[in-house]
Amino acid sequence: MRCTISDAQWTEYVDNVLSQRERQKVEAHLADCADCSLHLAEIWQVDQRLRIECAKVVQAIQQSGMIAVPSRERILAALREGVAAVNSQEVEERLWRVRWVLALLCGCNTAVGMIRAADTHADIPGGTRPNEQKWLVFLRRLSSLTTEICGRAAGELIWAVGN
Amino acid sequence: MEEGRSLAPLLDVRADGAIGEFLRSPSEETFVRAYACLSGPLSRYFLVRGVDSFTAEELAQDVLLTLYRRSSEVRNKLCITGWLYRVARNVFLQHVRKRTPSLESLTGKNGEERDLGVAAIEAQVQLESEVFDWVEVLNEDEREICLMRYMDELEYQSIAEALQLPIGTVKWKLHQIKRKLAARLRVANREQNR
Repeated sequence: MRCTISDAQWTEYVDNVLSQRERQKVEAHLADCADCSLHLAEIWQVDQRLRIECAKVVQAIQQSGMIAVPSRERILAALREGVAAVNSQEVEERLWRVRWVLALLCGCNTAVGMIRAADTHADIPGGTRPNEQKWLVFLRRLSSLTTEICGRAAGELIWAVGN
Repeated sequence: MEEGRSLAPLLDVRADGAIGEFLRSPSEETFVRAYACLSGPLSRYFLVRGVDSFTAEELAQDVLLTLYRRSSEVRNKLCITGWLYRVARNVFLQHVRKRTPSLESLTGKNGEERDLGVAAIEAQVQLESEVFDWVEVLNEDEREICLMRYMDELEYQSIAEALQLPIGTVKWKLHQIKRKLAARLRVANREQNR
């Protein structure tokens, strides 16, 4: 007998999600084919044992208390910390881009001087965790300084790179 | 039929509803509810792959923060659960890559992570489950599909999305997995009867 049940059909049949029509076809074949009936019995046994063993593990994990639902306060604290960390990382990346472009525009020494001058209030390059608001103050000052020294196009370029 | 579903649910939590609510109106409040529903299954995902409970909680947090940050992009996904487990898998692989060099330097072996992991989970839950022995006969991909289907209770669609495979391949591989495990059980039974 030619067996026409595909692997995908076997999976769907065992999981009981095969359409009614296909199910009937598979069952008609199983009624005639001893090899496939034997195969189904084996596969079904494996499926059941996997379900039982995995359910045991899941239950043991739940009972062990290893998974605790965090409190609302802890979730909010994690959320704010996570968002702040990402913002801080992004600001630091933008600072490196601005440094490079400024150094190319007016040389390293002038760039360092300008960054120091722009940083008077913002505390960006020395700050451990610059935030978005401080960054914008710093960038606006640096952009104005660049416009004064290197021209309007350079100032706009710094603003664009920093954003 | 399976393929027709737009949002595959997790079976043991109201994740579908919680994620849906958060994606429709993202705010801290809705995120807290989604977090409470999902942190359990996600922590379990890491635990059964051998991560200790403290790290599992941290990795689950990383996954959920990614969901928060990328909510606007995720909103249009057809299978959110699958996307979430794809992020979880990437986070897990990054964690393994970070740990592997230190393990290699200590043991001089590759793949020690998994052995330590299985021992760790069995010790942590005080359970010696046959399932961890069985999956040893499977290759890496098959093991992941098997755990996702039976331990994480994901639908075919979610597994396909999580592992970036066609849904037909997932069904085909699931049958191959059962075939391999059936052969292993046959050998085990024969040895037992001798």
